[in-house]
Amino acid sequence: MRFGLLIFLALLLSAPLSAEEGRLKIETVRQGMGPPIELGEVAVVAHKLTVGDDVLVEKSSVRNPFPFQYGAKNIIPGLNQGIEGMKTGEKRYLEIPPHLGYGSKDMGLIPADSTLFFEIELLEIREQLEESEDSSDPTDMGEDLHLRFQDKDVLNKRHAQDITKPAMFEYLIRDFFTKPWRYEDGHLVVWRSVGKMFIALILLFTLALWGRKKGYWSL
Amino acid sequence: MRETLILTKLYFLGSVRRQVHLATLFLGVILLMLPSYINAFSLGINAFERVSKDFGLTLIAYFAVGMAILIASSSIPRDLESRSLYPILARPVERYQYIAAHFLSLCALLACSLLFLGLCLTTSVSALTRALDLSIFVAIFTSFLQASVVGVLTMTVSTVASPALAGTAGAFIFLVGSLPGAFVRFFLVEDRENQFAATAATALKSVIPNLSVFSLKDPIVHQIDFHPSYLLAVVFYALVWIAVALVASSILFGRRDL
Repeated sequence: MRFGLLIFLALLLSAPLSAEEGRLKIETVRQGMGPPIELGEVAVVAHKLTVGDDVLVEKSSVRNPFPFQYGAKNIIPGLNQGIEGMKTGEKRYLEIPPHLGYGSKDMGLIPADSTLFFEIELLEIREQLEESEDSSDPTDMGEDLHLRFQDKDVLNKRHAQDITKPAMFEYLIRDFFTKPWRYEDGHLVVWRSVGKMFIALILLFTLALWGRKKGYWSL
Repeated sequence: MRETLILTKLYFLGSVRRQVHLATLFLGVILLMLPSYINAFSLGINAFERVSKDFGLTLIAYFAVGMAILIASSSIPRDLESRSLYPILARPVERYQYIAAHFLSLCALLACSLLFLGLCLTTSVSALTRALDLSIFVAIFTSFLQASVVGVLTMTVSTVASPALAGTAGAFIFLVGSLPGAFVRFFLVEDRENQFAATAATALKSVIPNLSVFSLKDPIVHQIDFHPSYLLAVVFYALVWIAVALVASSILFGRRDL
């Protein structure tokens, strides 16, 4: 009876853990601005995809961004779900479980049943893909990806990009596109800063009056 | 309040007597000639209006900050050195009024200079385009706010430091404040192995004003619309920073043994 109770408790405790393991985890690192991305729009992102013990699989940057259509069938479901409601300039960490990623397929650098770790930053929202970017064919997706992740030259090139320190220019471009005035809700960013500074002003003013009353300084 | 205004007038006239405005006149002449030169070299490409505005507004913004740093860093130390401070404080004038008067005189000088430079740029651009465009005054106004914020922070440092140190601090505030995302992230935060530098950079960012919000040159030059509340938010942002710096400088100067 006692043994049965222990098993029941163990199952009860492990149940939420298993459910948690199978879910997509989204962590917003930095808030964005402007309207959120909508289905069918093109997300231009800078991203880093790693698996296992921080093994780098794929990387894009501000200078070489990765554009894809939000909601398209040739994008893994986890990525489509992970960017839901994302705004320009927003940065997220995604932990995509295998069933929302590549499942039990062995994709070369991505072993079967791998959890995918995405570091993704939305640089721009476009209405449609440019002609040069629209080369994906959903029908041969599996084979295309299989080759893509086994192409040593491509991987070496991407790893080399990762080793190289990002250029100053990249950050200047990113700053240029994240100026608050560019976005409808950009003024809210400034208003929030005003609020914070106002609190600091009240505290400092109280300190000034307190010090004057105590005779620590004369204003 | 009356004492502050009298002192403000006194310091403003002192700046005029020291012929600070000669630099403004010199830049005004450059701005008057600028569009003609750009037009001559544009080789038929009708972009001289935008290029002139962009270049002119950039010059004005840097000039305003430079002027604010130079005047703010030296005004209080000069009074202490020449001992002209003592007869003023011997009268019924509080120290915070003295600080406020210095700041207001700096603002008055900046306002006069920027108004003059804005008129020069508008005149020269309008003469070539045959159309009066007053929108550049919005960008000049935000440059004035930026210079005022940098000036008041430099003045805060100058209450306890030498003019050279205060000037350096002012330049540092301007450089880091106008490129916070770029410089700080690039040199420190992105270097993930150095957690101490990342923490220090984050702390630094939170105590320095974000001056990039004052840069409205691009939307004005390229005629891009922005939210009407944005300008109001920026004005309040500058006012709160100025108020914080004035209270801080009053406390620092109030503690100083003269």
